[in-house]
Amino acid sequence: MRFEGEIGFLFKTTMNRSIHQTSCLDKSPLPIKNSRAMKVPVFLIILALSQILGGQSVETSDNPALGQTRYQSDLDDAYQRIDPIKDGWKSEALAAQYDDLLATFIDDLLHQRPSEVISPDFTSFQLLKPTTTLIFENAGLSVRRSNHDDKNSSYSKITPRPEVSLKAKIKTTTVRQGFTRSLVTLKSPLLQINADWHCVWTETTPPLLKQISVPHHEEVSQSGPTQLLSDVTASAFAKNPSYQSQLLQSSDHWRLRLPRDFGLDAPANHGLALGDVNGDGLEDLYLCQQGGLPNLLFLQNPDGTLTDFSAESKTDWMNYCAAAIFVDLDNDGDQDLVVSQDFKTLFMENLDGKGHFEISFGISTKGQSFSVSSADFDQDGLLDVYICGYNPSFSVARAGALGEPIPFHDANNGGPNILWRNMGDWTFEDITAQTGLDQDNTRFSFAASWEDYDQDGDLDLYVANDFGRNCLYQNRGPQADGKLPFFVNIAAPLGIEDSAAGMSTNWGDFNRDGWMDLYVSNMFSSAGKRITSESRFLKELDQDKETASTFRRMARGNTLFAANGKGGFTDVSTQTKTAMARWCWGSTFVDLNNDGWLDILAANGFITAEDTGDL
Amino acid sequence: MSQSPLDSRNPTGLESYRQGWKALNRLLHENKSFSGRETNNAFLNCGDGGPFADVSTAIGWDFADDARAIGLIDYDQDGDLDLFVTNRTAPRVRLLQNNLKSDASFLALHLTGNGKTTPRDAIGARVAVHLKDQAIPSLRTLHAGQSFLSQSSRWLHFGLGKDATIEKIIVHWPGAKPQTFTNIQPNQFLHLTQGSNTATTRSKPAPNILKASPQTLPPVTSLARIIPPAGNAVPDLPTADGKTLAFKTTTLISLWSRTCPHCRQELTTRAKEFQKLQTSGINLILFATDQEPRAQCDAYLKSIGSTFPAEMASPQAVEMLDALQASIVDLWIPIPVPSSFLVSAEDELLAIYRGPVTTNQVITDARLATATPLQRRNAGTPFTGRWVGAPDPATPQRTTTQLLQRARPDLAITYLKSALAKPFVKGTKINRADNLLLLGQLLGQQARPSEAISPLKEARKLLPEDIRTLRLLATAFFETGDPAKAFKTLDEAIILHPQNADLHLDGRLLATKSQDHPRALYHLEKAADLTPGNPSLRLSLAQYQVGNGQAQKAIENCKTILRTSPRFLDAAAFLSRILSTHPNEKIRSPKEALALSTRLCQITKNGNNGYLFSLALAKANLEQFDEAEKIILQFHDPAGPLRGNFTKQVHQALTAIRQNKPYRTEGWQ
Repeated sequence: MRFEGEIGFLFKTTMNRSIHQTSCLDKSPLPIKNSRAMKVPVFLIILALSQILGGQSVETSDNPALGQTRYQSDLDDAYQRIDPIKDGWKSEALAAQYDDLLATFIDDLLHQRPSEVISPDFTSFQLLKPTTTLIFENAGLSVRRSNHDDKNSSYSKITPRPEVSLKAKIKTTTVRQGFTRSLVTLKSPLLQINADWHCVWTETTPPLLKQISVPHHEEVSQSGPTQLLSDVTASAFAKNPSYQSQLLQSSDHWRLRLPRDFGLDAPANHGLALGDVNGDGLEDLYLCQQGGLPNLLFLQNPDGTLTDFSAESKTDWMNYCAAAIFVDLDNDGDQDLVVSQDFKTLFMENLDGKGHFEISFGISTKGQSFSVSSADFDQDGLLDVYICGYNPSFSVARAGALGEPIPFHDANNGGPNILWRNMGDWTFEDITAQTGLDQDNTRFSFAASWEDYDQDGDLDLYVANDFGRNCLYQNRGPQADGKLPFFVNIAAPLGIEDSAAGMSTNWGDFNRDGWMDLYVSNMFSSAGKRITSESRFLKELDQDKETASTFRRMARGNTLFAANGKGGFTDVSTQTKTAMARWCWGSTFVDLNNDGWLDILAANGFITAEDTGDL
Repeated sequence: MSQSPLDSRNPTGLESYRQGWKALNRLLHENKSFSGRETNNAFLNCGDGGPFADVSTAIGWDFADDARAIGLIDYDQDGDLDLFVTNRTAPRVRLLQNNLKSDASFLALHLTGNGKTTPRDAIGARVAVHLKDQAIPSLRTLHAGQSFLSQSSRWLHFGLGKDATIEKIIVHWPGAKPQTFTNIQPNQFLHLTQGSNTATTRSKPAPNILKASPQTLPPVTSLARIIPPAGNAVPDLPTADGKTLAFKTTTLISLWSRTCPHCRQELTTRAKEFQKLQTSGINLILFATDQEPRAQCDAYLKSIGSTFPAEMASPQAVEMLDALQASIVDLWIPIPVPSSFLVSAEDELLAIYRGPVTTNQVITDARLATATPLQRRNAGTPFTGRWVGAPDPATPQRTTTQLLQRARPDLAITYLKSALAKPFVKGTKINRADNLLLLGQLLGQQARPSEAISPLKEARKLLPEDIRTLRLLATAFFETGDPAKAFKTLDEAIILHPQNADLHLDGRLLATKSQDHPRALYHLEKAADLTPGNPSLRLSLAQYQVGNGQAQKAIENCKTILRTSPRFLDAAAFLSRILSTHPNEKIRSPKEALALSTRLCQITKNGNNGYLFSLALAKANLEQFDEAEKIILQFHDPAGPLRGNFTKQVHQALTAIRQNKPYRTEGWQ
């Protein structure tokens, strides 16, 4: 044991900061590789890949005699295919050109300079300060939207906005020769303008802005001095060494130095659970981590700070872990713990109600485990546990975190999800097949959520799947006396399959009509929207309009389904403007301002490399 | 679906798609941004039935983190919801406090079930808060696990708006009757217990407002000490002057360059402390990476006072070491200088130092040579905790794959060969057989079949029935000029796997190459019989048969195809060809040929030249020469150039027809 201690100690001294400053890590003896231009949203890459299949599944042809087999492709042809810049999508070159010009225009406008990127006959709506109507006001936060009654100003007549310094962001979702549609955001800490700009461009070289119309202009302002949310992490965590040494370092920091056998990957999808583990009335925090880093259990103290209790609680699992939940599995009044650990599930009993845990049941799973969701689906008074399965095998999960979905837009080669029935004696039975939950169960599932959506008194289950369609398993109750309830996937007839990159699912009555609505995280990609609208895209799919529209749908973003009170749903994402939440992972309904109306928070961003510039 | 590089075959169709995903997955290891620096979104429900407002910036939520899971909780118990969020980027957690100052009221409810009909946690319970003057109640369901990888607080939070009066609360307990609570005031934290009609207040509603402060992040560095799992082999490293490095004792290989000031510093220090290393039994190899004459390197070392001699690294050695380090970690950056590899006397990798390393550190790490795999795992991370399961044994496939993906199959072979010779790279029987098979396959691919035979034989010894090994071994024998052994191996494999068509396809290929037509025919027939769903294989068989004097069998095979795969029109066309152009009159059946080809042209609406040609031949066979000529002229320009077999054949036939002679296929008997 002494041996390990020493190694660990020296490990820390090596990572001492004084050494950092004496390194010259910019030099490598290796020849510089041709840099692959990766200023391309990953959606495009996926798109380019999937075109190889043309939306069809293809049979493997296998001619393996030695003389004819290429055992190992050097992947170069694949790299070629996944670089859409080389692929020369017309819309991408156009969008880049228009975006640059529009950025120049906005910069000129904000600085009240004459602009060289507009044509002499330029006309526009009021862009910075149109007349607006107050839509919402609560606790210092106000929302105004324009009345559209001030069209066709010349450039010099556009009302300036000198009181704040605004930063601009442009997302162009439609591009044609001479026309663009962009989401323009202008923001400073307490003011935010969200607008849809439709721009007409001249056919000259370079093109010039001819006309801007603004179908949507929204101004959000918060009266000072502070924003609604403030980051108090440091105050709560600071006393814990694990905060400094682990949580303040990015996932990539650990991917650069811990053996990957420990269980590390690029997406680094690691979640959290809240629950009162020691019965003091304060809820505690469990954080899941990459392999080689322990899961962390923080106890909440009465003064609001947190204390690391991981080792004492015996919940400091070092293996790759995506998710966990606290639930009382034996109805003894304390919070037990379910850990969704890669290809295993651990059921841990809270032994003393004080947060000392022990594994009471642990089992391997066939899929790489992600979200955990619990409910008493069979109404026997015991909480059962549903685990989402993503990658189908360990080797696939570790070789490529994104899996290998086939076919891309409707993958059915993912890991299975499992419903564990609580038998009441700290054993759990896999009853996925008996309950009908094995239907459509080989998709790449990220998240699931139980809800009695049809208000018939039992709990139904919505499952969000990556690379394709989601499932709504309706609980039909026991089919005969003494049998378990039976589920039927009715997402298709209800029109809520939401075929896209499903990552998160939430129930909540956002419109207060007495029925639970549904919000699902997906991926929004402006480049994806542009490309899938190009005629060439349709051509490459052999004019298969259905598949083309499936792909277009995959770039649309999040989905809000409003329940219609008759057991059905309507997709209201577009009219509610809740779709554009970028590459979205977790999202949730939340009433942030206590006005009784559910708002939405969305957490997004796929991979930000540390040392490189980005889009 | 093993990720063995063996899986990558001709990239066609599905395989090509898989290759694409492999490439994409590889890019994820290469420190690039993908949809990065995206700011989080917040949508405000304006309560007017209209669009939500994007308030991301105004509320302070637009962090550019790679954010993942959100957990909601009224952490400071002040009546509004705060939240935790986890990130991929640093800081990997944020606690965001809600600073709401509003005259709207709230209600927070904590449910406890009876533990009999309803779980104690009351998960799945739906609560309806009925307010005065509101027709529809506010609804919340208690979830354990919602959103993405997340569990929020068990306290149900209701915003009630301004001037709210609560009429009643109905709790729909799962598995039990609903329960109504009345006389509830807003702005409280209340416990509701199933079966008890009185709500109790939370014991400690003590708001603790934490101070907001930015999170200070440590500087980003790629400098690292990496302790790999046990069992990674360091290959025999070639020097620029043609030697191979040998490690008789624990050795530190230091990569350095003259152009790097930090290498200079490291070299100077190391020169001073060399004695210390030597006393600890550690050998040092200064591995110079500058591709230049040795004299220059020696002069440089002399100039900085280092008396220790250097070895000149070959580019192959650097590439292999770089592939080795990339195979250990998940995020790959090119190896920098200075970097060092600590290697045991048995050529096992003990540590990698990206950047400088102290002599003391090296001496300590040298003791890893005698550590157990479990101790090695513990040393691989600076943190302690519990593991489920034992560490996996290392496999040389990782580094081999790295080198293959860099298009260096030569180095991949060198590495794999060298690794498999190390006594500590044992692995299970299956692992070893798999690796030997991979080696054999790579050697075969690189046109080195004679070298492939020995590893393949060893693989066969380990797993005698592995069909991949047997096929490769047969092919390797064949390519080294020993067809007898090749066919013997195949025949043995066929006895072991009588249902496998691939073996027969291999047999056919090899037999064709060695002009052994009866054997080729035999294998083709077997392969066709074993894959009844593959009509093109049977058609090849028919073509082969008619060319080898078995026209009757060919006709039967074509008819079999017409029965089992009626949409496979090529079989009908070929049959028609036999029946109208075979030199043997007994084989020919003019009317049948005409019927077949007429039907083919109908089905394809005269759009297929091959079928039109068949029709013309059938007509010519019935001495309807004018019509035959007319049909041919529909698609054939007699004055045009003679390109390709088909055109030549058509030209020949046309010449015959114009001389009023029916066409006969040459070479058929």
